Amino acid sequence: MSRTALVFTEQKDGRIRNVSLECLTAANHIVDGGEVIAVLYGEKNQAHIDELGKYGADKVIVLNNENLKSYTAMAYKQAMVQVIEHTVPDVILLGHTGNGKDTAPRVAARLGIGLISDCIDVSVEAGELILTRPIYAGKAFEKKRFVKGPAFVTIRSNNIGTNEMIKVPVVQIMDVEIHDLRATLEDVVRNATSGVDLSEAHVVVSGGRGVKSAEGFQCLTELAEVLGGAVGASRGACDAAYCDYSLQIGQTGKVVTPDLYIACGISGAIQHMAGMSQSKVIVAINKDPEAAIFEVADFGIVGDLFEVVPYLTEAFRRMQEVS
Amino acid sequence: MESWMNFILFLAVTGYAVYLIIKVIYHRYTYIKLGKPTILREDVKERMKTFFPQVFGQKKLLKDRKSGIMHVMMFYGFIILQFGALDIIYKGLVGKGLPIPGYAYFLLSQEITVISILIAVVYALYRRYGEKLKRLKRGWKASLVSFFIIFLMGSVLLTLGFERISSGDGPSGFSPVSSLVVYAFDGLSQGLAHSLYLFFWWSHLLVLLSFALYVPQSKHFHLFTAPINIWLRRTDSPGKLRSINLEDEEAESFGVGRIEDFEQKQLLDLYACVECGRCTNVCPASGTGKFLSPMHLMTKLRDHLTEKGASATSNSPWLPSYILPVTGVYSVQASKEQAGIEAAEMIIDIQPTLSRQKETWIITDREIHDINLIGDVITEEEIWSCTSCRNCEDQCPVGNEHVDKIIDLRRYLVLTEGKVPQDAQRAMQNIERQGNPWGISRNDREKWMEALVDMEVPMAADNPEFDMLLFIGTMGSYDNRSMKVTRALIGLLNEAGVKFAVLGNEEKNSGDTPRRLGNEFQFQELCRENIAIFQKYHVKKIVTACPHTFNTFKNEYPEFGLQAEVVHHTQLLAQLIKEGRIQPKYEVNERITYHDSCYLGRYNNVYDEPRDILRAIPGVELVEMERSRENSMCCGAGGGMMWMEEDTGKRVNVARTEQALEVQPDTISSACPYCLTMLSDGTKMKGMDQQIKTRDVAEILWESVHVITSHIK
Repeated sequence: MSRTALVFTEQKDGRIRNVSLECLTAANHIVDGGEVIAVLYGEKNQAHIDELGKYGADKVIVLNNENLKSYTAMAYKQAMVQVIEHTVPDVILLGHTGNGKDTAPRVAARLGIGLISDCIDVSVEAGELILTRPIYAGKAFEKKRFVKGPAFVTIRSNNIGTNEMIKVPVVQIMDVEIHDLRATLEDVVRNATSGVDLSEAHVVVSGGRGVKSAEGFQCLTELAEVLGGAVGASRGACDAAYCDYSLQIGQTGKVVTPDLYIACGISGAIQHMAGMSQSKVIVAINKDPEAAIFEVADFGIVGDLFEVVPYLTEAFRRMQEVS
Repeated sequence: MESWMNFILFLAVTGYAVYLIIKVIYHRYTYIKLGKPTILREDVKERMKTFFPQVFGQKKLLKDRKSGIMHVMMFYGFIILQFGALDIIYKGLVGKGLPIPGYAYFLLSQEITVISILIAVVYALYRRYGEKLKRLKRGWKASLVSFFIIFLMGSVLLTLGFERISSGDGPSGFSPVSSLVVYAFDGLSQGLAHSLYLFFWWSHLLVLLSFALYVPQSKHFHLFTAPINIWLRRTDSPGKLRSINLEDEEAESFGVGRIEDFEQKQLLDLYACVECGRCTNVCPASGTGKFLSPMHLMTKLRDHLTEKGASATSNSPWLPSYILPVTGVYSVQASKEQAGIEAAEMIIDIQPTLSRQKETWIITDREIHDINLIGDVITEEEIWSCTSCRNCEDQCPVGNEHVDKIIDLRRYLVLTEGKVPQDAQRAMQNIERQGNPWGISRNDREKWMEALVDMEVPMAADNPEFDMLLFIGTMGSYDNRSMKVTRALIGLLNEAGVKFAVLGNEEKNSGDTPRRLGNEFQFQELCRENIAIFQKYHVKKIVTACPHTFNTFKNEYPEFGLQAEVVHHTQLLAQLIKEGRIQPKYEVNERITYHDSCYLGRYNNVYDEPRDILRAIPGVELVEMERSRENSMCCGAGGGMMWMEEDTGKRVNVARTEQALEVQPDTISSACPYCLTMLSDGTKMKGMDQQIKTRDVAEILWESVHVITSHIK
């Protein structure tokens, strides 16, 4: 049974978010010969259309509307409802991102349809669409299916993966009516951090009170750049004004789960560990061999971070040059 | 004829005034009745025990000696003056004084009292406008009562003086002040003197009656309400919050989302508030630039109750209404600029908070029914700033309770609206999933034991014959720093030969954090699960190093079926030292200050045991901070604030650390894992962590008992 799948894409910093491409991949798994339609908000952008094609969109609907250039829940909800009513899809997919979490329930409520959120796998078993989602903080998985109506699903990022398939999508410009907006976005004021987003980074280089100054973070930034990662910090470092609070990792900051976490000059108070202990590989650099951070670290280096970190940066840089 | 006229006029005026007075009081009574009924415990003896010292002994007022003495003069002065006023009125109507034995002495006592009250009023005005105490409000409203009193006292003296002239009594040594009037108006004709006497007699009566009418319509209502409030106060432990019946299927909401959701006794508190500001003066949130001010919590709720009560009952709060029209309703309006202290010179400063409260509480033309209790009267920012330290309640002379109201508001946000700050939500979600606020695996709870290779840690499951359960608590189990306290404590218990046992992974979070954050549901779940485990092992006595766990086990768990003696580790250790089972022998040559944990001190009156332990250690020089014992300032972590970020003003823990640094200690000691964390973070932020140690009392004792410090690295 072929299905029509509708994927609402999301952009960040002018690029299509990876999770939207994962949604396209998921859609291609399950359409069974049906059409995969991607929805692009704002304006027609050929690079984006090409990219959507590259990851499996048969058709791209461009929603040309001034109000959709930046995200607001009300405008996006109205647009989504109109597209769904226009295309009548069997499956609707979007990323389980901040925006996705914000709009999906509104749309589901408006259309009176079901929603299965935060899924990590989408498959077809015996002709039926099966959605897998983690429960009990990831200790178990539950499989769900829709009993009626279109399947409306949000997808957790970094689980399905992407698959290049090179399609040349048909482009349709669609006019949507956006009205009665109670709020509009005037300006986005960015708070510090350049480069990679901390909570999505695969590598995080993080500094604590041991970094001693704002300048001290320079060597961490260099290491992070070489590794394509982001810079984070402990609460102590933020309190001491070495860096902005938006970098704080821990109980009252961000929770990160990168593949590699390099903790520099962080003693490892439990409040900090609460934000990073789920990282796949933890490397600790600290002068104090008794520091608690070594208890959770997979690799530990006892030494002065101002000596160790530049060595590491240099070594990784050389490795990259070789390869 | 003249005296009959006088009498009829007197009856008419007094009758009208008394009618109005009864009416304004009754109207406020109807507002209070809008609240939910309060169930009071009938323990008259217990109530007497606090009523007399607090009302007649003015115990709480004397915590601030200067203001206290001023108030004692007023309090007893006005009681004494009641008889004088009766005498003056009686004399004006009947023509002779009351039949009091030793009448001359009675007159003397009156004149001395009048002068004392005048001195007290002038001093009160000086405190408010001369010394400019920050906690006292300034402005015409605040000083109105002083002028009432001055006029009243003046009219008493002038009435007595002219009465003396018109009756031809002449000056008397028993009436020194009114005799001065006689001298001053020497030669005045008796007729004129009589007219002036009548004039001042009437002035006295009118000032007296309008004062009596003003009282219930202002903060001076406390003359009536404070003693009642103190009598009706809660007699169970202050550490016990009201529980919610979660099985109640009729309940449409939990917690307090409207003013009438409060209990009647809670509403009486509002009319008892006298705006003395003693609460705000000691509040750790107000002192560090947060929006919360306990005094304004009370006054804003009071204003709102009066407005909503007037609307709901159609009983006007302001009488006579031709003088006092209703002008609009109060609500919190955004302030021009956010308060918050930038690099404060003083350790604590309540001024920014007071200013912001004053600026934002504004009369608007909105309808009372459009005003939301949470948001328009008390903001979420205020609700989530309270550390539940109870310093405000300890200071309050009229027996008000602030903390339970804040928790009730939190309960509404958490249980009914599901509106929880992200940090708090994360902590509670982690407790739900893993039994600890960090979200570390519940199976790692007993991991702390791995490091104790040289110590014996008996498990309850293998040693059913234990005397005492050592409840490690979440901090002691997971937090690296607190684990060292756990190790020291276990060392000491082994040293003393105490037959104890631990639960390991069977332990659960005590539920204090969720309960103080308003998540009653989660608390009750954890409470029942913990009690089931205690029952499984027939636990008869529990000791814990965490005052929060101690408080909830001791005061809150019994309601849910816990039958066990609960002690804090400082109580047990002090006892063991007394019995000679622990002998501190090695010198600890340090100057140590002890920081009182709120949940140990103010909540449970444990002040001496930790100090006794420190005094028993040879070499220790114990120094007290300016704020210690009942008035100790909170470290900033109570009430769930341990898990939330402070982003307005100064950090409470830094302020408290600065107070500790003032006494130049080598070590700041405490007896609570939260306090330990906050103070050690405080010394780090002050850049003093290399010079000054922060340690639990048990660690210091362990060092003195067992000198090999490698065990407590």
